Amino acid sequence: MKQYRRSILSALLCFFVVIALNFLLPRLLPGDPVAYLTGFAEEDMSPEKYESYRSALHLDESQGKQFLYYLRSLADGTLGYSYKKEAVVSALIGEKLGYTLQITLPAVLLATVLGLFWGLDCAYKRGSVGDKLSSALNIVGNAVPTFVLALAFIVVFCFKKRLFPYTGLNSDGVTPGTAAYVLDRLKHLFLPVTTLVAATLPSRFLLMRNTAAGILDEKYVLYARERGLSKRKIKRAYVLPNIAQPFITMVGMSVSTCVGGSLVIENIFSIPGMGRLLTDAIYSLDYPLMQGILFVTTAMMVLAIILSDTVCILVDPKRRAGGRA
Amino acid sequence: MKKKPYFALVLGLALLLLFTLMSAAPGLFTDYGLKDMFPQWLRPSAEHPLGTNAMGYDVATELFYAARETLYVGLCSSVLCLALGTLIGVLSVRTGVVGAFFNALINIFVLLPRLICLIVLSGFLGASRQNLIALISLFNWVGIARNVRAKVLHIHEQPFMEALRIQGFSRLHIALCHVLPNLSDVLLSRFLLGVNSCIMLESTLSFLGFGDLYHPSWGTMINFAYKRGAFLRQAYAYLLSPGLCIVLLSLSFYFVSLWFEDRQNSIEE
Amino acid sequence: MSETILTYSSGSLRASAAGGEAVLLRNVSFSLREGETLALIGETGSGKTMTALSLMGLLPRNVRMEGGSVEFCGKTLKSEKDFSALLGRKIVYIPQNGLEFLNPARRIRRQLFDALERMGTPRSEREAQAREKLALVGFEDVDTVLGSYPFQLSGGMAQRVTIALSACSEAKLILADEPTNGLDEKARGEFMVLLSRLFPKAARLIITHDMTLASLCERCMVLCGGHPMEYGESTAVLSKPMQPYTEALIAALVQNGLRETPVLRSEKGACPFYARCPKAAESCKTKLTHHSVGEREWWCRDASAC
Repeated sequence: MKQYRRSILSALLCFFVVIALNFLLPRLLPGDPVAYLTGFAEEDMSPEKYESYRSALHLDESQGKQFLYYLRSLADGTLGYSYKKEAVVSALIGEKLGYTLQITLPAVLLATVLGLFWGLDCAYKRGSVGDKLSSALNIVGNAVPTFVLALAFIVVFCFKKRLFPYTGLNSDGVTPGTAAYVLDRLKHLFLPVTTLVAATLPSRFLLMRNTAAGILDEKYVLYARERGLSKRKIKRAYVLPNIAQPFITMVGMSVSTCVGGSLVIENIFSIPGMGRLLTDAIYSLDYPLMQGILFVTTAMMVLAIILSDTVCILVDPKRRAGGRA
Repeated sequence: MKKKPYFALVLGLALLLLFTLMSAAPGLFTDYGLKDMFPQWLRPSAEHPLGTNAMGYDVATELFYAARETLYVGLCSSVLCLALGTLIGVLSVRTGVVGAFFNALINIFVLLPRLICLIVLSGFLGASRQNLIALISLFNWVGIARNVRAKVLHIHEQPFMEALRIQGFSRLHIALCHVLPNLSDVLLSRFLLGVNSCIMLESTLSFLGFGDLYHPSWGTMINFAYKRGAFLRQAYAYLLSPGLCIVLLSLSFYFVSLWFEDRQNSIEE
Repeated sequence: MSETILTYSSGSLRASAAGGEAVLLRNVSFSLREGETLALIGETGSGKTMTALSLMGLLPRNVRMEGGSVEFCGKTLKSEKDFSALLGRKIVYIPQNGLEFLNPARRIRRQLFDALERMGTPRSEREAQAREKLALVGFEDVDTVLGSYPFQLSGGMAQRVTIALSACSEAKLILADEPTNGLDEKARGEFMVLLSRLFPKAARLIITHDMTLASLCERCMVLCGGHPMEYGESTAVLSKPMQPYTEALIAALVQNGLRETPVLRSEKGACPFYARCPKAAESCKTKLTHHSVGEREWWCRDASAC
């Protein structure tokens, strides 16, 4: 119990660190804060424009006041203003977040669940040919960077075989709201999601397999076998409940890996999600937008960790037994 | 207890040797110079095993020269990671404010979205080889720190530590002469794995365009290939061969690390 | 004439590990009839646990039995199916340490139900039966125990739960592994009484390093380094041991003054006790002879005066 409380605390601290980082970075780095916060260099602006930016950004006020303004921009949901794109940052992100989630969420789900069942299966058959092959395959897979995998998939499935589209979320000419649209969307999502799953699955598999193998070596599993309990019963009642907590923790951490991975995927598959927004922001030196995306990503991760730790606490027998922390 | 993985070690060392040779003396592998011009986008053939790229340079030559860059950034950043991770890991064990601070630091950095932070920071700081090395080390030390922390906690429980303290040796002396040598096995295997993740990060960042364009690594090569239309020209060798090299390099470090691990290697995030 | 429940012959239990092969157990054979108790005595590493595991067909993956056999009520047990049909029903194991051996994520009630389900008890009767078993082993507050998780129980309570679990069976053979670890003398006696009350007709194999527990059993076999050293009726073996190893074990008891057996020589001999035996002779390095007088057996050097 204590360790989960500590973990939630760390998650929140991490959040605050990112907020502080976002605030301090443009002000601490060499160079003009105005340039960092608007994306425009001083030379390109007229003095009046420069002054108007300065006052809009509250740069003439004390650091403490500036921090409060910044916090307010986070609290009221605007997350700052992008001068390059002339829109509120949160609106810009909001448009694209949905697309990122369409890739990230299925990938997290598939990778963790597949990792669990495949890993469990191989743990039961430890030392067999199937286990050795699976482990070897996943070890090699773990060594392949996400973008290499994506490119390889595109070469095979889009160019050599022409099975799937490789750009965008929908083809032209399909009207939204129809079943055909949904099918088309699924077709476009298939390769990106599969790539992300293939990229993150190996480490999930290896983690689950090793954890499960550890559980199978535990004395209580041996005792269950000594009592003649059926294999199915042992799997369901003796292994699964004990792998639940490591599994849930793994799911929480997977969100972070998948968010990072989806960035690469969005770039390659030209999906207009948050990842693409980020790379655009960097090329156009749109710092407020960059900061906003960093904030949102960290928020997603912190949320995932807090959620998974809460579920762990709820599932923990020590807690269900009645209050004993 | 388990059998020592000789085969993996030999394979890993052989590959490492190959890549080190490639980095040190690329001229051995290819007769062409890096800037020798040929017709662009040639298909793979006997003279150009991997074809030529958009500028007309031989891809295989570029591949060999890029090995140096990849290894350089990978190794430098992982050495820094090792130093940083060991320092923070050891400090996090101290009691009181110091320990709590560094422990909290570890827990926070575990949760940061690594790739996003790296991208945002390199956006702020600009892309150069030094920046890349610094940034990667800044975000990759966590795995080492956690392992070091666990091992140091274990060492502190040993009776001989108590004896040393009673005998009055200074903290620094104990740390340097007694704790550190016992860490060496953990450090070595984590270092080798750390090189892997540094290489991965470097490749990904280079591919996304945040690498040092004047010192192209394998990741940067793939970026060039991708951006300049390797797909449309069906120049798959150009596109994928650096990727294969990255995979082989990763695997070679992994195989060598298997030799040094002393207990079950749990796969970290 | 009571039925022979178990005839066991270990053959050689060979384990393959990183360095090569090691023989964990060799030449151990005994048989048990209804109602008989046999104590398997030995220090850690003498092969006691391996014996129990081989009796249940649950040897670890890298250990195999060569030339041995397990015969239960006349039927030879070979395949996994043979064993698993009997485990938990006719062959029952009581583990050493309840806390480590109970599933930490499952309430006691559920774990008892698992055992009852194994026996084919219909769902409606399981609650009543579970309560009965817990009462049998001496629990008064059955409700609390049923609803608890293992970590909420004390060591002694957890041990009693494992005995209750073993009572959910039609046991013909009980394997108890160090069942009285940490219990005082009174509790030890109570344990044996409980066992004979719960399983009056079963054959009981008690694995222990505790000589006083062994004295409560009819017969005993002393193991050292995977080899049998002495075998026979407990009262005889423990009062007049024929083997120096048995003597040393008895001498090491608290009531006898905790006398030690230091290592005397560095070479290894055919006899596992060679390095520490005060009565060893040159022949002990190469040969270990089997002696027997009636039901008494011992393994030592050639000359009968050992």
